Amino acid sequence: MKRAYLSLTLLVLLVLLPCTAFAASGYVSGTLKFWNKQGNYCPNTRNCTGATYPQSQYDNAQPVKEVQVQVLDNTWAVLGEGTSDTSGNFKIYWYRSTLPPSGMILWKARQKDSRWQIVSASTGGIYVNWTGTFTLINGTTYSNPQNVGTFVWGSSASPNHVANLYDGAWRQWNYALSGSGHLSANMTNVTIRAFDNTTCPSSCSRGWFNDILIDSPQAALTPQGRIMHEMGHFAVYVAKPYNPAMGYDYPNQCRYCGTWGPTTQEWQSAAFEEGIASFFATAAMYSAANPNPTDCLSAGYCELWWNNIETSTGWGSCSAGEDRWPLSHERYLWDVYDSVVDGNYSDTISVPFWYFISSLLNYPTGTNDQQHDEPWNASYSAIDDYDGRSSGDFYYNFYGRFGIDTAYQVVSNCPW
Amino acid sequence: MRRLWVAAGLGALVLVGAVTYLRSEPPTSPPRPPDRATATGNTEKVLPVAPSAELTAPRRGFIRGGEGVEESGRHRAPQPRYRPRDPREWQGMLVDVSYQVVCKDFCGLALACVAGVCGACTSDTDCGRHESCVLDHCLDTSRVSCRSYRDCGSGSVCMLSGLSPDPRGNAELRSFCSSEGAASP
Repeated sequence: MKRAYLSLTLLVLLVLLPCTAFAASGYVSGTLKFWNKQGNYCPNTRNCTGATYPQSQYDNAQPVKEVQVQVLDNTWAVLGEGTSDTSGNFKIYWYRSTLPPSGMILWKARQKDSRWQIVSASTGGIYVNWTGTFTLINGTTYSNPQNVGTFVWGSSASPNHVANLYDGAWRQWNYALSGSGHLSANMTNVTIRAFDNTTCPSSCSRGWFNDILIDSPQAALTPQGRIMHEMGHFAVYVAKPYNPAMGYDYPNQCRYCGTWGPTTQEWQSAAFEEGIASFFATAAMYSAANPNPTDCLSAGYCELWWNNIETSTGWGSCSAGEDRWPLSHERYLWDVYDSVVDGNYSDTISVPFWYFISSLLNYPTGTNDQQHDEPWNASYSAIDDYDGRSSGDFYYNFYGRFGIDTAYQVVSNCPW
Repeated sequence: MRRLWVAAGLGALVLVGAVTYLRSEPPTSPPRPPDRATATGNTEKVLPVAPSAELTAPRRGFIRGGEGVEESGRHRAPQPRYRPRDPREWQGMLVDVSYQVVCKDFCGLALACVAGVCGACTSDTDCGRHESCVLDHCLDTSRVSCRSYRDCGSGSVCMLSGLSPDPRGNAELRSFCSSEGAASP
């Protein structure tokens, strides 16, 4: 009988012991980078004072900034989560009930605080990138983590478009939009759908759906005119939701019919809307101290001779139709923002970015002159004033909110 | 005969122990150096296995109980699913509940380890020592200025400053009442 018990005990031990593995945990650190091929950098040949995106960051490995990061095991189970910092560095605690055979790092195209995320336009699933596998070391500590080195996604010849798109969104949020308390409180969980070239003519922003559509992988390499500009539209909507009129194609002046360009003639509602979205993008690319900010749709840098935002035509010198250029509206807003004094008129105003959001927020509700839905008739059944919601209306509302008269800026840049 | 059984048993134990040891690494083993080409200088590593982002996502099974879709051999992550929050509260930093992270007593992203799973806290007791639960996240109690919109003025909500990159995610995380003007630093 004793033998039988002994045998049974040994049998149980033999069966159970191999399954009795110890729990494992540790810390993993490393750095995430991507190959940056975004255009619109400030070229070395130019005065880049206050530029947030100098040419030195172009066509090389740049940090994947403030993104959500996970440690996975070889079955793709999540063992731990954290975020990267602005240098792409991460340090994450992981835990598993048994020692994993191997691990890997995965990052989601989602800002650390879920301000926005990039998802597949076709399925809605969030884009992720992951590393190869490595051996996870049990028992590593906070002060002595397992450093798995630096990983780079994409290359100069084959950039990772989602990573580039993420970086453009990060720049727009970090250098401009996050400066507004109102946007910080209200711009969350934005879905960036990539890539969709059928819903909009190119890319578009739909604040009412809390999403932004980016048309193509190539658009990820033209940040200022695409993701940053669209996030600008989004911010305008979040500032105070309104009903867009989008009066493109001023009669008999249609150059890019159905859409627009910096110097195409549009109804004021469209010219201002595009101008302020572009201004928000420019304000993310350049601080108020930059003497020659530019804005364009290019995967290279923007030429100064035709994309200079700081230039102004000057009082009394506006050409015919210049008031309808989106570029004129952007230049007006830039002159209210910048601290560089224009030489051809009295330009001494410079206000923080959040002033623009607060001005939009404080538009009176309604469809009358200077109200937030001015293009619409009182019953919202039709648009009866495509020239409503213009830079002139912004001028009045800005003055009403802050008591600052921007008459020189608005007249000298010709939007009104 | 009994000796023989005991010897066999001990032998089996030694064998099992050796196998277990070889399959794992002792907790005290030092970290291995990173697997990279050089220790300094150009240390970036372009991973041939890192897939193009357009096709990326975990394989099915990555998200337990999730909604992973597999198309034409491509793997995509499920759509995020957020834990609802009172619509009167700030709607930022919602907790994604479309997947689970098993925990023992520690979670990243300032989440709580409740019943062995990382997730939103619902009370201070879900968080660690000297931490308080605000808007589903665990904050250092000294950094709590508000817990709800009820603590803020009209038109303002209680919001969080954002995760910090430390493993816990809350070294700099604080709560404050929102304002229209300049964002709170």
